[in-house]
Amino acid sequence: MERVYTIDVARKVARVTSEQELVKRARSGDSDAFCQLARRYERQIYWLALHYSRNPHDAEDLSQEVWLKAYKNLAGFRGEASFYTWLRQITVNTFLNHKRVAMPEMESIRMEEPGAAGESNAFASRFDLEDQVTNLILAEKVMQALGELTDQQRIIFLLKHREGMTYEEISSALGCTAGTVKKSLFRAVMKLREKLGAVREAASEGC
Amino acid sequence: MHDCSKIKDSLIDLLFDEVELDRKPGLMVEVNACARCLALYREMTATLDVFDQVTEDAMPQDMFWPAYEKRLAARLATAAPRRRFFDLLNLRPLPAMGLAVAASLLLAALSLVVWIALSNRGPKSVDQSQANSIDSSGAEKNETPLPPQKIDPVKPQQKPAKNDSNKIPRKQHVKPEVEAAPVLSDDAAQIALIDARAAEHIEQAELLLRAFRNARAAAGETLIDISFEKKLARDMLDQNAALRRDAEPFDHRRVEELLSSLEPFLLDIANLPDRASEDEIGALRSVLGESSIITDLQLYSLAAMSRGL
Repeated sequence: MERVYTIDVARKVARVTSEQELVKRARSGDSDAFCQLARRYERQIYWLALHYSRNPHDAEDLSQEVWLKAYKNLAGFRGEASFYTWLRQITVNTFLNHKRVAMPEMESIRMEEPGAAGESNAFASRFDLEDQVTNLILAEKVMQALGELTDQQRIIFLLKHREGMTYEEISSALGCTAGTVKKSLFRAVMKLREKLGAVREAASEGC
Repeated sequence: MHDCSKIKDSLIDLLFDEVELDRKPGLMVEVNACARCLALYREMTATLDVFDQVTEDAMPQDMFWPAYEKRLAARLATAAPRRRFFDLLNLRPLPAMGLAVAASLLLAALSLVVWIALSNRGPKSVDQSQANSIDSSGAEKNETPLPPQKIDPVKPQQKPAKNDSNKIPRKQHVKPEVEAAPVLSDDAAQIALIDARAAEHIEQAELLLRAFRNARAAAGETLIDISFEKKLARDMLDQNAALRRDAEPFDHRRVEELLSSLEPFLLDIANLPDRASEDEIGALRSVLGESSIITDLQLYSLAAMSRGL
């Protein structure tokens, strides 16, 4: 157990060291180093962007805008916080400053179509397909619920639930009070409960 | 006395683990004791579980990422990171070092001023005496060479007043025009320059978007020829990015925001085929119609015009 812990710590130290090295190289204009940094966190940033924008196209735009801003402003990263903490602040600012171009019809979140190509799907049982359909419906409902929140409420919920930031951290990142953070969280959870609850009830009635 | 509304407020803290350690056991007991509160808490927990499950499934497959990285790398290639003085020296920006550098620069500037003042004295004693005699009349005080006047890079320089013909020419005191360049480092001057460039760019963009919105197929044709708009949009994309990059360090929000809103439209037009069908450009036209971009561009152009840009 102790050995596992030691290896884990050693890995973390190595990761931080290599990250510092990458930041240093990227600051001196090495875009490959920056791409390596991006590779580490691209999924986390994309996840936030996807659930903030609720649209894969906007999510790509938004997440890449975050990376571009980070790249341009890398000189401003002093290493006082971790690279990810710094990046997350850029993410929050980018999201809130982003003026979403109104799309004629909001494209729903991309999910693998039930029964679409894929080895496992070829043998998918009827129950698997039902699960997939339920997931698709749930995904739509999640996006609808998120869409009914304000931009600030949505980002607060994502930062709290996904990123595990504290009320204080969120309030300081967004420049609002801890009370606002709490109210936004409550509203977000209630909205999700309202949307998902109805689907789950319908699903259970169907059974 | 159990109060459901009070507990309801605390459920969020409990759900997101924001309850103080000493308060948590008591709160849990209270929640467990009330069927309504417990049911609500369980529903909230279940909701978050479903959210986690659904949102994980929504993430793109692994094969998405290489292409994403490629697109990002391409965008990064056009963006240069801002370099700071310390980065160029490969030094950490320590406050003490910053002070030392600032002090050195100040000292150098002072030395330069003293040197200029001394070099102006000796060999030009005759002219200086002439200058003094003019200064004593009180009429020519503005003509003293030091400090150099700030020159607005945008506005044309004021012509000398008519009675200037009476002045004794003092060529050695007149700074050559090239020396006006350092004044450009002044933020206000840089912003004025950006404003002037942005005004032209934004006017062009407004015309482009209007032309695109109004483009129609020629008689007897089903496809709309937008090759000109497409080429223009492509040309303008680089300029748009460059202008926005230049505006960023000066926190020139108005220009930055406008250029950021403009970019997706330029990009979309640039990516259309030379001859597009009504359907292909219809979606973009409808976005264009719904957004206020053309009005915003027009307002900026009008404001710029009123400023004489």
